[in-house]
Amino acid sequence: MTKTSQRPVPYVARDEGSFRDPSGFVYRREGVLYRQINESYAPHWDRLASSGFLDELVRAGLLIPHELVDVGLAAAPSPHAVIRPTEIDLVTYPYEWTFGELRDAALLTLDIARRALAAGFTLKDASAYNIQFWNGRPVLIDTLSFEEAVPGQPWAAYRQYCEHFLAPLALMALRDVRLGLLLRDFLDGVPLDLAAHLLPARSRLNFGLLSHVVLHARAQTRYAGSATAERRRPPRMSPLQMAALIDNLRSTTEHLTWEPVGTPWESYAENNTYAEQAAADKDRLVRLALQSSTGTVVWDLGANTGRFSQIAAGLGRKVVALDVDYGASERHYRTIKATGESSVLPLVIDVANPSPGLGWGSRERKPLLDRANADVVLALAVVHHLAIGRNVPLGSISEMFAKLAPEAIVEFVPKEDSMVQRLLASRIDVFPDYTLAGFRSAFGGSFEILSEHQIQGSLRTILHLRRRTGPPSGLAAWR
Amino acid sequence: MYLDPGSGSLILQVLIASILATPFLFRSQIRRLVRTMRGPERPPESPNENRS
Repeated sequence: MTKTSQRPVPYVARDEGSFRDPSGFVYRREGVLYRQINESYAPHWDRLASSGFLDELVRAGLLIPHELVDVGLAAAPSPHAVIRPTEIDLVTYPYEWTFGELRDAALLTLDIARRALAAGFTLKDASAYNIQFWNGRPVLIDTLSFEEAVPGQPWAAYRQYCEHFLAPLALMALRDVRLGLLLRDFLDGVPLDLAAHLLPARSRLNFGLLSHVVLHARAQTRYAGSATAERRRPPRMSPLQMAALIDNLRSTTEHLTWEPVGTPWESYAENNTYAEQAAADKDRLVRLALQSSTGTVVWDLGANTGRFSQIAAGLGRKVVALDVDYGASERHYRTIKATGESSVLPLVIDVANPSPGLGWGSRERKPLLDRANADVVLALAVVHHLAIGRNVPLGSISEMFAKLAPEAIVEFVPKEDSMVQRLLASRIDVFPDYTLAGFRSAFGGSFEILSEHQIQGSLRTILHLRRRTGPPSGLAAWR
Repeated sequence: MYLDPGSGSLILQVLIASILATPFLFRSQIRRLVRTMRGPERPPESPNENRS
């Protein structure tokens, strides 16, 4: 008799980032996303469900819709109810958002807190991870973030709001926008003493920042050791005071602005070397390749301000637009917001250093590559930056694209091009294989070439590639 | 070190809120008065609702 050593594949898988809240948790059963509501949260849930407050939020587009399903679908003992929330296409994290995205997520959180207060509830979490972008706009995804308001109790999520939203936004607006990346190291939000230390002196002249960041940090230090020794009577707060606090947080947040000028790439779309004819032909070739590609999700790598993302969106595709530059991505986000475009999500991501796995067991916040849902990778004028600017071998770039999606539309920019000449200007050319023939050979391991066209009026080439079936050779990390 | 950052947050929050409450009430009353004089108007909404 032989006994198989393989364990059966579990068909209920709990989300690895969903363990903090005792009210319930998120899991997948046979691929479908559910949220279990635990018995401990039952009184709050029943009151919420009967109040119509959740429906109000869903109708206003502030909360992800859900439907109540059979409690028999629960994943753990003592369930009270099970809901099936509408699934987000791509889960993203605050350290991947533009300034405007983080700010809109912050204002959404406050708006929900204000509405909860008016409806007799309290928003118990103000975590930036509870907000996701859905159809181009932020929504709250944690349906269990509410509890019945207890008269006199202060806002439990005040500190979290300051650490997850106000402090990083203030640093981005008043010090340097790249400080948004602090959220990648501080998963519980930017420590307020650090923010107070890094903020410029003029921020002390702003009442909101002075109170909610600088004095808040001092109060934390001052009372940090005394809580258990002399158990204080918890301070009380009237609904009017709470409304005033939320109103002040809102105006403080609204006054934090950042203009996307002067970053390396924000004005590339206006100042590139494309002649008008070449630009038009590139548009035509990209459109043709996209039209003949399959699937619905396009990842536009090095999307800049979104010229080609818009073409893909115009063809009915959902687009994730990645760019390393805060200015370019912010301009892109403003464009989609102004036009009401709902199928494009601009993100600030360095393709050469994608978000890693973070948090508990490095699994709480998943690596970008594990979240990849692309059908097509669009990599226009980006390969030379990786190959020559970052010294990544063409074969590795090919493997990465093959890992991201079954199809790729890639622009090859030869060495003779003035932009590549600029990259090579101050360094020795150690890239003998960086030629169109070398590109074909390097990408040939993972992809077959479906079409190849030189852009008229330029030396550049657009190639449409399809991943070979089965894992390509040499790709150890195949998922 | 066992530090509790929560106590300071609670105390400061209540302190700030009590400073803000009176001017907030004052502004709300003025806004209400202006609204009554101007006639019915759409209340301020979330940024989401302005999007198509």
